[in-house]
Amino acid sequence: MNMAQTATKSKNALAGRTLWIPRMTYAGARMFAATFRSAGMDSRVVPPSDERTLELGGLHSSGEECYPQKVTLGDFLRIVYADDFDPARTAFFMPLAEGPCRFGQYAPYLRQVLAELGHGDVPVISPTSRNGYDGVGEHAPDLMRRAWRAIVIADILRKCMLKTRPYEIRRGDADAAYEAAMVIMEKILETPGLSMSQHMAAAVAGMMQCRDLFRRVPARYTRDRLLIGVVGEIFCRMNTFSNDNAIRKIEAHGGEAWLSDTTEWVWYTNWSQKFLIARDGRRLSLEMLMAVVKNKVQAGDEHKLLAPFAEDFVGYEEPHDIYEEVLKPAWPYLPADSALGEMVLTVGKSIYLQKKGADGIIDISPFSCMNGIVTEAVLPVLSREHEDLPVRNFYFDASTSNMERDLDIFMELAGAYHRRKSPVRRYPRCFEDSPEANILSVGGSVQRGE
Amino acid sequence: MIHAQQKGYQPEEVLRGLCNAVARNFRSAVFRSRRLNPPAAFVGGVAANSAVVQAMREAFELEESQLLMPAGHAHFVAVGAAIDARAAGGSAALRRIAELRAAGEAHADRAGRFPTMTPLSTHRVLLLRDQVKPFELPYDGSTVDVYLGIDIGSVSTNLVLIDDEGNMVDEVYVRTRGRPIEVVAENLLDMQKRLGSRIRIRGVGTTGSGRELIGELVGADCVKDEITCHKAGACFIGERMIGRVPDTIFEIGGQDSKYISLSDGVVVDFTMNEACAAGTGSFLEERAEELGVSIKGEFAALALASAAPIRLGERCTVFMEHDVNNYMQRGAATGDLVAGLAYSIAYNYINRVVRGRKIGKCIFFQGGTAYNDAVAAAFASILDAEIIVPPYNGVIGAVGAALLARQAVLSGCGIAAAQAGQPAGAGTYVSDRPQGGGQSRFRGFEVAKVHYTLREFTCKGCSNACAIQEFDVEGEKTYWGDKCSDRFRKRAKSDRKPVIADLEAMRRGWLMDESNLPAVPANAPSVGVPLAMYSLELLPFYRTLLAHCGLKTVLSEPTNRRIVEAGLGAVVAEPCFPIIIAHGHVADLVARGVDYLWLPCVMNSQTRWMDNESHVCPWGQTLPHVVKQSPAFAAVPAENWLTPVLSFRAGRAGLKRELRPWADRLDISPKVMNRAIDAALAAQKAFRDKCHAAGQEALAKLEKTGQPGIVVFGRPYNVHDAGVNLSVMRKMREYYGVNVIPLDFLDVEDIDIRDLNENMYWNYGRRIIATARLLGEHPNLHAVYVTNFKCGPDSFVKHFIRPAARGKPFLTLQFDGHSNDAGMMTRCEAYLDSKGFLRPAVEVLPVGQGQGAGVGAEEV
Repeated sequence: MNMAQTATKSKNALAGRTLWIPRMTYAGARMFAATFRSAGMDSRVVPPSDERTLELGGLHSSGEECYPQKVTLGDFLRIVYADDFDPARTAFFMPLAEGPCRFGQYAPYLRQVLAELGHGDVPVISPTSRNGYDGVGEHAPDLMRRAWRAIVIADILRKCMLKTRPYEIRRGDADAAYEAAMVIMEKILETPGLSMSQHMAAAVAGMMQCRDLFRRVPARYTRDRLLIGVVGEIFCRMNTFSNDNAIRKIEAHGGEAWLSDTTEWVWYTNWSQKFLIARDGRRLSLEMLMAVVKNKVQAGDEHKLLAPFAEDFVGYEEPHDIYEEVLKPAWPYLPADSALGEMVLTVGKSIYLQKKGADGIIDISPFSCMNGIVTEAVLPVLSREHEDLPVRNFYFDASTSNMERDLDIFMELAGAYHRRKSPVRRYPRCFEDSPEANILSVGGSVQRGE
Repeated sequence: MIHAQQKGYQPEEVLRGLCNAVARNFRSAVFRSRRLNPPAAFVGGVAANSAVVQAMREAFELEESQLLMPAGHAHFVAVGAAIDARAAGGSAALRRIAELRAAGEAHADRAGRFPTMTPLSTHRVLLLRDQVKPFELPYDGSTVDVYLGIDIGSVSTNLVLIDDEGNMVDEVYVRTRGRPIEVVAENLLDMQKRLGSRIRIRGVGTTGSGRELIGELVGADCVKDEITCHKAGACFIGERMIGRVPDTIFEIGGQDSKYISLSDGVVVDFTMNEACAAGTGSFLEERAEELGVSIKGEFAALALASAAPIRLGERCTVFMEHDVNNYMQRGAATGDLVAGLAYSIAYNYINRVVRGRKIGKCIFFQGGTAYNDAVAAAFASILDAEIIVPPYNGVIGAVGAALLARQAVLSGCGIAAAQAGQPAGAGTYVSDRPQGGGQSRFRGFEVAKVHYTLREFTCKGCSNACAIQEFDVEGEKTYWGDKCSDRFRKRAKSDRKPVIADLEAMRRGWLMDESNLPAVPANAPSVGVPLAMYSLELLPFYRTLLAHCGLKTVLSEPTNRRIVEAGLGAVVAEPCFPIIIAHGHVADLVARGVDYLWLPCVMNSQTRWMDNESHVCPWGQTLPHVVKQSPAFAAVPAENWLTPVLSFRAGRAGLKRELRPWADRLDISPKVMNRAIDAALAAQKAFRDKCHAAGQEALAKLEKTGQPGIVVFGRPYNVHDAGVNLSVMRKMREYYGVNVIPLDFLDVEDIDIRDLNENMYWNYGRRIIATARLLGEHPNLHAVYVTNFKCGPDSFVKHFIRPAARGKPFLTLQFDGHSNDAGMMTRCEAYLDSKGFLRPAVEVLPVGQGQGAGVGAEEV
């Protein structure tokens, strides 16, 4: 059965069900669920992962699959194993991909586990990367475009939080602003019946409110923090449970994290869709036209949502052309015509971030991740050819990772690199009053500001 | 190491090996492909061990002066911290210590706020050991006929005496201490002292990983794998004591664990612990020791009394150790921690050994760890099921060996009988020592008096250069060696002869066939083709293409130890074994000084099935990019790498498009290149067609003769690289007469598997699942699934094999650089035995009744 059929079937099957959204990114899942609610679907984010997640995930897998699979499966199984579980009122959201990495197997495997547990009728909703996730749109008109806006909004809010938190004066203020901003945007995104232009107008107004929330967080923007680019496998780098709060650790060690966002993956799948159409010799096809139009529409939406943040994001700009700014620089290490998926983004984004002034790159992957093991092999050469930019791979699988141990020394290296590097970091205006501090040595366990 | 001990190495040799292993592992796992510029400093506590120092010098090929052990090497980091503190101004405030201590105490206050689990309870554990009485020798002083069973395991050696009724006369559970021969000798003498005058040994059975060595030494009548012995022992006890036989056996020993699934007493599935210590007894023992708790009695008492077992989750040994220490420091109660550990062992076993296999209704929990009632209670709680702990749970394997020995001797098909010219009890091991039928070959209690000599030599059969030990026991030779011990190893034999052709050999012939290649001038540029990964399937395409382009092909050596080591030395990260090997093959070609290296980016496979993608895995796709970045190949000029993107799915036109720029680079005219591509595709098709035709013929032959066959399925680079799979196909065919069909002889492209997995975008994954589906349709086909550790795609693919095969049991063999022949052959024998390949047509003797059909060990 193809994806279109799956989607149509599942649309009807969704009536009266709660659609559970996996918590890949906290903000993204919340915005996504709100968007589904606007189309009349009861949609909720799975509760935060815990030890029970890992127990159930472990019980129903062999331990050799990737870690995100264990987390997402375990989170869904907690719902199945709950006392009030009603299969007739449950559905799960699990996107697909057409390989070559293992991510695309999560949904088929989830279906098999549900069938083994006697719940084969519980629908698993799976849009696919084959068509750049167009399938999302089959559940309600314009849903795909609304979902895209939800992703962009979540990315922007996270970015605001990440650029504020390291500098907040009172611990917890930035997180509180983040929570408040999500509530504002959820309310807007879950509103039914908005036309696309009303939807956008409301979203932009909401985003201005959110921007002001973050601007109001009392903070001391000093230039003595090291900028650490965080790249790697999407689930593990975004999901704080899986990466054991890696970003907070970086911040506690005197860093500020620039976390690769979710939209880059969408830009990549759009590019890859166009690339494959072109490689098949169909440059001037209807399919190509559709792909180009979709990309344009998405770029236009992103532009509008980003507009209120022009001043805040000076120096924090994401690449606007995924090929020119990410895939092409990555080509000498991993050419995107034969290295597929996140690995090229990891490599290309590392180079991009170095140019934006990052003092080090942390590549986060689940233990045994096929992407991470490829990037780990090529990053040392990339580092050598980029002024010995400090680059470090960290692997996670719910056990302790090597991060605790090695972060000190990594930050030490990043500090040394900061003093000798040539790219200059641009700062937004909030930093203006702060003189360039001399970063002597960062990475001791004693935290700044304490 | 454990296996090395089994094979009769002296502890000194084992220790030397251990030091070498530390050094080698450090090099391959930590240092990896980095370049070393001597001198190097060796610091850390281990540097105090001169044997390790020596081993490090050897591993890194350093002169004595090039590896320095600076003074204070054990405390280097602390010294550095002190120097650093002084540099910082010398005023490192001691008051910080008080702060740290206060912080620690604040942590301790938070005790009790740990994640917990339901308290353990034994109310669903059936402890049969409470129901047996100790054996008493007859008061009249007469002698008792007994059968001796010996289980020589990695950690413990067990000896039992069973009388003709199946009663336990004597039971010994001792540590093997790396000295199997001494331990068995000592304990037999002790047995003689205690019981010698009152017993008569009628038969001897050995099992465990040291079964062959000890079997020869004591004169065993039956030498059987552990799985069959555990099953025999457990079934006998179950039938006798509760009138039920187990359908599931959990066996947790000191260093290994097993899972056996039975259906009416027949083994239908089993697995052994795959290189994980967290689910075994010694792990529990170590943690208990750290907590100051005695593993015997105290552990279970504390654990069962805990009202709030700490949730430790399931994870690897190293991490668990860390977690336990962490909780201890945070003030967790010992009882809660040991209860948590009991849960962890059970979870680890279920998650890492059982791995989703079937758990039935009559679950036996045995092995040394089953003495620990807390672990039994944890199983009962997690599975919400009754757990039965049989008596003698630590020695069930030996009980089974004794029962099987009894059967072998009484049925007259034991080893002695076989030598007397009677049909060999298949599955038993055959010796040449003449003896009368019905008699035991037992040499007597005084094993120490048995004359044996040990000779060591290096096998020169192939480049693996295995170290072999030859034990000569009164003229009878037994051999022990690592990988290739098949050359010398004694094994189960079968009279079965294969009825189909040797497909593996035929395929190799066709793969390597050069007869249709056009001649290339002697001075043509040479192109090295690594005989790894997709070359093991695509070599006809590669070689035809290159030859038609006027290039000379040079192949790397077949996978061997040298190649593996070169691969380990060249990889940067830690990919799977086949990718490591591919690095080694490239190293081999680089060393030969070829002009070019052929390392295409193979993206996908050619297939008729177009409803799903047909990718190869990401590591395969990116192999050239990764290999090129290895420091080991930094000296290879960039222009020497030939790495075109080969998208076979895109067909002829796609290949022509991709190869065009490479033709320009090599100054080959587009016309020649296009002709070469056509010829290469034709050669590949001819190869595939020949395999499929031969496969058809083989299936028809099996159909006609009613003979069973074994399909060996997996990725071509695992199935067809004998250096990876230790020649499993040849061994099955040669030793056991198995009709072996490798999966690429079956045309499965049109088999739809989308009802099981609608999104199987890996072509090999699709082929593997489709093959499993085919098996489900042929009652006479069984299967061995060959895979490798860390295979990303197979970690998902394997879940769909069992449903595709409709529950038909298949054997999984997972290989990596440390695979060893003895372990693999044990699995193969047990599987073949349970599938009836080794089963003799033997009259079965019930225990206690002399003749006729009976319970217990019927399935031999």
